[in-house]
Amino acid sequence: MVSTVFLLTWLLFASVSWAEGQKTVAQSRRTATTATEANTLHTVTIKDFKYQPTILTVKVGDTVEWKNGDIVPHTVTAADKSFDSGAIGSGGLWKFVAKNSGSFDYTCTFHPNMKAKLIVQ
Amino acid sequence: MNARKRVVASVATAIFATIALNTPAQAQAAAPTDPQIVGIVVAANRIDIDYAKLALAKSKDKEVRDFAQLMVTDHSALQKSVFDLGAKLKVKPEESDTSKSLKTQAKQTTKKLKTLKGAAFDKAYIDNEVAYHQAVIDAVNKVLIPNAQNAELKSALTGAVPLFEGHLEHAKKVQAALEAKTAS
Repeated sequence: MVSTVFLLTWLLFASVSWAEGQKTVAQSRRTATTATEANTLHTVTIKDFKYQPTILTVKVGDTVEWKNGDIVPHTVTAADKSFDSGAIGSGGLWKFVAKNSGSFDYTCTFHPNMKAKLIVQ
Repeated sequence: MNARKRVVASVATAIFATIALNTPAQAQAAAPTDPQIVGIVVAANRIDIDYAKLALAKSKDKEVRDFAQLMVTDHSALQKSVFDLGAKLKVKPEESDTSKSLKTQAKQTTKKLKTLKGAAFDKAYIDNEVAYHQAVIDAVNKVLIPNAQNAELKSALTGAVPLFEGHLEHAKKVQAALEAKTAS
């Protein structure tokens, strides 16, 4: 009887500490993940048929968001087609994670007079 | 005079016909009022939406259809903003000889476009879009903006110019693509 209680108590403690240990491992993994994936969010505003800023420099892994402040839809389309938002409606938003380094000219396929550049370092 | 030049000339004549620019006295006498300016913009928008709807009904070319759909989307959005601004500023669109003349010209162009089919229609539609947007840009810059009395209306007109320029550049791209298809 006593030995059974002792065994059960030990099992309980053992499983709790194992679970705590796992939590710690998970937490440290999360911390490590956050550190390696840390990226900056950059915003490009589309207003009056212009991308602002016209030239944006970011680091590989950074996120860029384009906000359409015009009354008509626009696109964010790389000249080399490496990224293409499709139509971003009025008031809409499109996010893109810059995975590859390089200099990317982009335009709006609807209004080709709109031109800008994204530099990924 | 080729077809494109004829369209430019006729649309430009329609817009400038009632606005004498030769002498300051004449210009002052014929300058459009704010309600007339809004009326001209509304008419110009409506005309381009109607051309686009005709193109969507008649054309099978993807680039032409995409362009026409864009004209419906953008000019409808612009039309809404013009009506919203008009309501805000209490400026009611007013007919003028210019807006009437634009509509008459558009009726003639539409009649001609309706007789055409296939590649001939696509070419005539896009040529007209290039000419029409060029004429509208000129009219907005040279007549409507300088004569607009209300600052907010003036600013809205200035803000709309890049939209028309974008359409003009897009139309020219489709025009070049159509010419390349014809040549090949």
